[in-house]
Amino acid sequence: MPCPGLLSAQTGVSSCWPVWPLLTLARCVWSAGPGHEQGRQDEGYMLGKGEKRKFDEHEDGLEGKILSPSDGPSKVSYTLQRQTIFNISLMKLYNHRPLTEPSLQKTVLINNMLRRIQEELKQEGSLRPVFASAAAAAAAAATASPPPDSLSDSYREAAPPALSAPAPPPAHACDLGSTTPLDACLTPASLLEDDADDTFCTSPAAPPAAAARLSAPAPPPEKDSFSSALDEIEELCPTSTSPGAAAAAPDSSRGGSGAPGGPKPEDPKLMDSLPGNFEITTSTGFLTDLTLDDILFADIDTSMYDFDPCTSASGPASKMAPVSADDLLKTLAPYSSQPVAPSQPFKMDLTELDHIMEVLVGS
Amino acid sequence: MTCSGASRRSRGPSTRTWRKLTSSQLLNLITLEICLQRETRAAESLFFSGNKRVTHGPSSVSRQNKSRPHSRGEYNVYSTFQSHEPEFDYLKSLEIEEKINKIRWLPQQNAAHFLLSTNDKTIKLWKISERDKRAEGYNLKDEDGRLRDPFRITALRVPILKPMDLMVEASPRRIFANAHTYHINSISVNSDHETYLSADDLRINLWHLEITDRSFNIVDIKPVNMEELTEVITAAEFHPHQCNVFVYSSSKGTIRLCDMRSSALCDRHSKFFEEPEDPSSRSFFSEIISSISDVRFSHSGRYMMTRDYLSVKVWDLNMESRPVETHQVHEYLRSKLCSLYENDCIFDKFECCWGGSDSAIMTGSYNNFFRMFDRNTRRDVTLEASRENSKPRASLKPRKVCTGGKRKKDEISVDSLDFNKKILHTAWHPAENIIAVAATNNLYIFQDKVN
Repeated sequence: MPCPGLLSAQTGVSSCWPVWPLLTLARCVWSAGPGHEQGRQDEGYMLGKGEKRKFDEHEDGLEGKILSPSDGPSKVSYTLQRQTIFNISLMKLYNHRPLTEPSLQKTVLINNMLRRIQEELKQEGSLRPVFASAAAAAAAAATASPPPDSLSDSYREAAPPALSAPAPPPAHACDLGSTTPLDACLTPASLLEDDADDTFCTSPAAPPAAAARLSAPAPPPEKDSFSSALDEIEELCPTSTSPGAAAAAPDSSRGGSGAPGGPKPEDPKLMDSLPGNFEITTSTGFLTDLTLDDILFADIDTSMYDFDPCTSASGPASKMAPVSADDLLKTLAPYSSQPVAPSQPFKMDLTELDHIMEVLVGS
Repeated sequence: MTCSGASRRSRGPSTRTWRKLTSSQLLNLITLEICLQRETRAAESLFFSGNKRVTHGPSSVSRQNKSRPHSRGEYNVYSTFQSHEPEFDYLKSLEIEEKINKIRWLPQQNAAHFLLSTNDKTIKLWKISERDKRAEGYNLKDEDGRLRDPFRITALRVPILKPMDLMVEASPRRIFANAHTYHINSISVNSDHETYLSADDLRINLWHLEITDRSFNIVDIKPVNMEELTEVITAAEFHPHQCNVFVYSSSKGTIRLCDMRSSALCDRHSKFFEEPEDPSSRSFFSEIISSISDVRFSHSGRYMMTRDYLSVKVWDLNMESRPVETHQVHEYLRSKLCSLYENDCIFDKFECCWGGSDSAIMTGSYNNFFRMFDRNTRRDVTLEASRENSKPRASLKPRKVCTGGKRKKDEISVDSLDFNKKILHTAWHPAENIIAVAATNNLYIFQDKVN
């Protein structure tokens, strides 16, 4: 009885493996907190994860002062902090696997935080596809959002140094989660260097950066293949953005699939991408995911993706939630901007995913 | 130990020396409340501690030894009973924890004590009664309880009462269930002693203590489209004297006072209390730290106090624009908010309480620290509730948290604070200067020292 209950207790958009490196990254970034001056290792102390300080130069920027977007030199650290808070918020929402209902107050507060950051990003002129895929993938590392053109150059200069410092640790962090498999699914660096028209910097460890890069320079042409690919998927699942949707569960699971519909993200849709998990997913939500699975990935052995929480006892394994089709879609979304038929990237990358899953499951 | 009224006013909490009476019980405590017994002048204190998990033991009531009302002795466990059982919601496939969220005593009307306890979904009314005498010498049954053959009875006798070991019984009297879709966070007994309210994240219901199959919804802030939800109810309380007035606080730092005479559904508030945000201290976490975790009326009914993450604010009910007092509890945490957000400590719900005369207020913090503020002298003190640092009858030493670079002796630096040791629940005796402080596994009772 508890087994389906456990799975369905999750939101329709459950955390998936790309969150792993994010988790370790976040720990890595914040482990260099002040609590480590004394080298404390206890859980009770602030982020005592037993890691040495890695980037002192970021401490002040991230924790020490009250940052506002208007500070010139600290704008980067402000953005970095904002991005990190954004990641942490997403982690909180999607990693939570309670046996009981999650606290509505906490969910509301975290959602409000995400909305505020989203509003800020919009005001700064960030491109919506970037945001949508970043939000959807939940794998944004230290990617900074693209600023308005006037700041782009200085931003680009400022950002790489800022990012290069944490870059080695995040790379390590990513490696902690999954070594080659993760790299295999990342956009090769060659592709990143190609585009000289980038208005924002990229880091090699960020698929959303690739997505941003790919989709930012020329959104309209990209949009077509991108959005059409996702439209196809959307057609397959019943969208339920109307309040009168029958069950709450489809809301939250469609909330996840609504996110890839980013290229034309009307606000309600983007709001849907934030977890519509105010109504707790029921087992019907879980079943809806399975339906999508059957349609798209009928030829794949999905047994690997079905983590049975009852049997998985190991720490890392139990941390990883069942990968729903929505998550796979979102991680694949960046790649759909390749000039290929919509279905192809899925098949091509699914074999890679297979490999990744194999490694992660620890077979 | 009693302090006279005059002496109580002249000495604020910072000049008092607080002495630890005892530490007792090894339970997970989540709430406690001190109830004043009207009958006994000795003002025995009853406090109740609720339990998180059944594995640690059921909920229990503790009471000072009756024989020595003002002794410096131990507080012993008075009664222990399981209030709620874990349940399973089959519709949503989720567990309903037996963890008790709130306990409220009812005003005492006879020898028995009544209290309301609630978990996430169900409220129960418990009757706690004592039995310390039993009757002996029945006519129709013998000592074993077996019925005597009436034809064998040749003489009548009057049963006599004999003392026996104190037996405390707790029996559920009412169960108020199935009225809340969301998690109940507050219950509050009305001054009419007949009704009470229960508040969850989006709704507040009004109950009659005698009627369990019906409740009235008096506040409903649920939006039609749940995607638009941005604010939830965090606490609610009835006015101590006006039975038609109650307040509820929100996750956005606002308090709404409602008058039930104005309409049946009090969605429109009568008064709206909100402090304008200070733009200089705005950060990512402004909204989260402004979320009010507890709201309490003063004993006089003229003020109310709200607890948000970093401060305690006292509001005059006649002034909605801003609080009359703001006391910083642990301002040194403001620069650590990001870490506290990550480890979820920023969502901790601290309670606060008034002293008996409303001149002092108290709330908890981390590292087993708790803070007391004297509203008259504007002084405050930080004290620690721990076994190591205080012995019974020893005075508590004020503690200080060092925020700057140089750490003086006996100061503790912010980075050394233990965020697992949090004092969420404190209670102050309404008539005496006795306080109860709940640390994770211990209950501490402190008493004002009479010099």
